[in-house]
Amino acid sequence: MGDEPELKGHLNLVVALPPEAKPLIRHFGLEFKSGDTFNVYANGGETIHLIISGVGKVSAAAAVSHLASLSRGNSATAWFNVGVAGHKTLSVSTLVAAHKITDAGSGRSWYPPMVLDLPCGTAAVRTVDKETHDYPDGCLVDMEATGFYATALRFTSHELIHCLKVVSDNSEQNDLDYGTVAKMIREHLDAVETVADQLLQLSIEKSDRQAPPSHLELFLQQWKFSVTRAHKLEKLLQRWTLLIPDSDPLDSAIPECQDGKEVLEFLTERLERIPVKAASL
Amino acid sequence: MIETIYIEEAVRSHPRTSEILARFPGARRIRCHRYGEVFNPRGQDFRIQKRRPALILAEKFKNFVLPAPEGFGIGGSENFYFSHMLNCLYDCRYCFLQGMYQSAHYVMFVNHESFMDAIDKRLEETKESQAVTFFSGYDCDSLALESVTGFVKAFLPFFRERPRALLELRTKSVRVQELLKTEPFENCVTAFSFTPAEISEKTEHGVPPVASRIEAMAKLAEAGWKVGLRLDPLIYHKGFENSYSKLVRDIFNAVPPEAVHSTSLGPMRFPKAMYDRIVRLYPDDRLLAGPLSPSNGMVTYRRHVEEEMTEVCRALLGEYVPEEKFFHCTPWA
Ligand code: SF4
Repeated sequence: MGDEPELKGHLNLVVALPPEAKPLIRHFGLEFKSGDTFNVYANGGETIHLIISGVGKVSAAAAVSHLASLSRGNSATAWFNVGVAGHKTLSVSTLVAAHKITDAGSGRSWYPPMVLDLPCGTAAVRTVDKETHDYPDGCLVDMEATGFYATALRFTSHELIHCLKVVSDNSEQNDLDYGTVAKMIREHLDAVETVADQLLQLSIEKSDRQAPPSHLELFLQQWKFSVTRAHKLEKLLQRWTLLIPDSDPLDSAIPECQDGKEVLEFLTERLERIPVKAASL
Repeated sequence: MIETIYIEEAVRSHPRTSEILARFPGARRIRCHRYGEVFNPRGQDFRIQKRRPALILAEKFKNFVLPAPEGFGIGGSENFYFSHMLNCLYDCRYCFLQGMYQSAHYVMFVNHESFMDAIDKRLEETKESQAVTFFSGYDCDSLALESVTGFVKAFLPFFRERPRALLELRTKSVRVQELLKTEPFENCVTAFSFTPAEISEKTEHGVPPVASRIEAMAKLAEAGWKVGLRLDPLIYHKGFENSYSKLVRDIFNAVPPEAVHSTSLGPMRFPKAMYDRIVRLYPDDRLLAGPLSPSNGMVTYRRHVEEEMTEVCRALLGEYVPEEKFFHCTPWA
């Protein structure tokens, strides 16, 4: 994933087809960014990226990997697959979130945790290798979800990966008209945004949690630390920020410490002396 | 309260599954092959899940009743624990469950009868003269989700018929209705864990107030049930002598010492890797940022702090309860 970028919330959208992408690109104000292997779009602040993967789980997996490196995301980046899927009974244009994603080939399943306020119902999604009009009971059928989900999992946690599908065909209306796909997605842009907002919030929260303590860089510039000591330093500074937020650790340490070892001793000793008050826990 | 229920194939038609599903008609139902598919995968965020945990209905296949960790006991010569559930309704910041499991979902094993068979087997393996303790609140709170699990309702009649088997229900809940509806018997102890009110308010999220828990404890004692008192974990803070003294005094003002089967103290200790996992989840938590340090693979308060707290609290308990009712409960000793 390269250097950890200084991002807060970050969302990567993955869609299979240009007609699925079009309304999303417009809605989120994205602009063309690159088109070497896949077409990628991003907003001005580069907090939202969109990639058009093409059809199939292999393409979806490749697109996720590509976007992960291009968008310089990190483990706090949220991933969101929006697309169309078939369903035996649900009417065309129904919006559904995936609560289980099963690979028809291997039988393996993934379970996106239901932690969001969803604007729609949920269902299991079955990812198949070839287009089919055979709709298993109660399941959505698509061609990308498992490739998308399994690959996104290499970069972030389950809670930050979700799939939203619009029913494009069913047992009565199974001649999918790609010309209508953009319209179907457009009808659900508010719902897509509701989910996107929540994913961005989770991304911000995770990003905050993983952020190194603010003084770490300055300490590393001021003194030399081995890898193990740098790790200890990070933990001590994290505690300092929580326990003595009004005091600058660098200002306190500079007059007292000659080297990294002394810094660690100094910080440890100062933290030991902080009284633990029940009211401030 | 429960929005999502995962149902393992094996328990789809179990009567307890049907009962629970009927209680949550609006919950989303998701089928899974084995509960581990949902609960065990790496890369889950316990903290995010904890806001909206799902219920997983599952069958347990093995390891129903396990030997309790070294140092865990309340007087029986043999100590075992069993977990009808994994994870807890509450969210105590010092809870080891958040560092132990990948997921915050509640796993409920519906095959209670298999646990009962395993308890009988353990009893058969021990001598008739031996008192055997079975701890139930190790991986969950024994009472907090009673309205869903029906655990107490199912297990009280079972233990009543096995006087040699002592059941400990460990809890921070006030859900004692099922016990109050039942005629008390000797070999069941409902053990309440406490930290002082000012600590509880800050660190035991979602847990009923200390005063309500004391009230629940008193009700049980009055009804004739044996109760236990667990000061576990002991949490260090300035003036801990006073706050623990007030806590113990408040408890014994409400609960007659004769009703107390046992008291115990538990130090705050985490295996180092578990502590690191919990801090990664809650880097913004001041309790975890406190004066805990690694020693021999464990993260604890410094020895003198731990010893001082133990000594003070032991003396406080000693004012009400005789020495022979005092036990140490120190997993990972
Ligand atoms: S009540 Fe017990 S099991 Fe539940 S969160 Fe608190 S410490 Fe953990």
